[in-house]
Amino acid sequence: MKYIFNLNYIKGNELLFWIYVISMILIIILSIIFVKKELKK
Amino acid sequence: MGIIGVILLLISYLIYGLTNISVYVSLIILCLGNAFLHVAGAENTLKVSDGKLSPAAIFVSGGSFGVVSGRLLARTSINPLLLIVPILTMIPFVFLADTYITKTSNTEKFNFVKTNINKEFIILVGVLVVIIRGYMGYGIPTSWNKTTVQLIIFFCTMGLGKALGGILSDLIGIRKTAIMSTLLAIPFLCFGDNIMIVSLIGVMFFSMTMAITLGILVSVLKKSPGLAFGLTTIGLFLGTAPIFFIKLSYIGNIIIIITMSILCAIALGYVLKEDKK
Repeated sequence: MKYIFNLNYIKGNELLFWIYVISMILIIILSIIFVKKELKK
Repeated sequence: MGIIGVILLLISYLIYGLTNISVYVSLIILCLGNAFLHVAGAENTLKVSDGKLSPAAIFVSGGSFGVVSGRLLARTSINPLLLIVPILTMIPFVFLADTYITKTSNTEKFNFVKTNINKEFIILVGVLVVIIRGYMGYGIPTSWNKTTVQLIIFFCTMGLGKALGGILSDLIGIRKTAIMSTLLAIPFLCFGDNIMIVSLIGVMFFSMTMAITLGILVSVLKKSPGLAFGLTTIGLFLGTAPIFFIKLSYIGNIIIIITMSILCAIALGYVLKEDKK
């Protein structure tokens, strides 16, 4: 567990780093879509 | 939705305890169940709050106690079978909340923001303040925090601050609480690196914004309080992200804390309505 969350040293954890970044981008996009939809109601 | 959360928790527990499937599968299902339960709890609490922030603030403050309990339990060699007890205990509460909610729902009474400001902008401000708080929660210098007791005190103070944010908002007004807590936290956070009590006062003050940001988002998203709560948790996720990748110097951190806190105070003062006298 310590390994997963301690990404100060990205070396060797590149895959996790990109999963984190991609999930962040996805979350932001989904949030914008849902908020826009809700505000239109 | 709370029921789905409990079912997911049970499934993750059974996968973890009875099968040899990768722990990550169990972990993902567990996180989904946790998310469902959180949103259901927040939504139900907001719907029966009658325009008051205290109930929601007390609800979110429970998270701090949960986090520290989880951290401490993870260090022990407790039998995982015992965890089935708290999971099953949740069922009657979830049913009770879902039954009660159908009779009373009054999120329309949340009116904390100015009506002449663009709604998207208000949401952006709310989420940005959460992002900053998320960053500060992990980024504040706390060299004093070394022992288990200190860790417990740290999280309990955080929980207390979150609850007090809502209670004070109801008592003296949300705008006053927002500006006061954000600005007062600065000196305590900056000079509390080695002095526990000073740091804790700062932690308590900056935690107060939790309920305030939730109040801001619900005031805009009245028909979907679950989404409003979800947005605050997304903000926390985004705010903690830099901690994993960037390591700043002590001075760098202090400069960021001061700048961000002042920006938060200005933004909150701008979007929040004047308090009633």
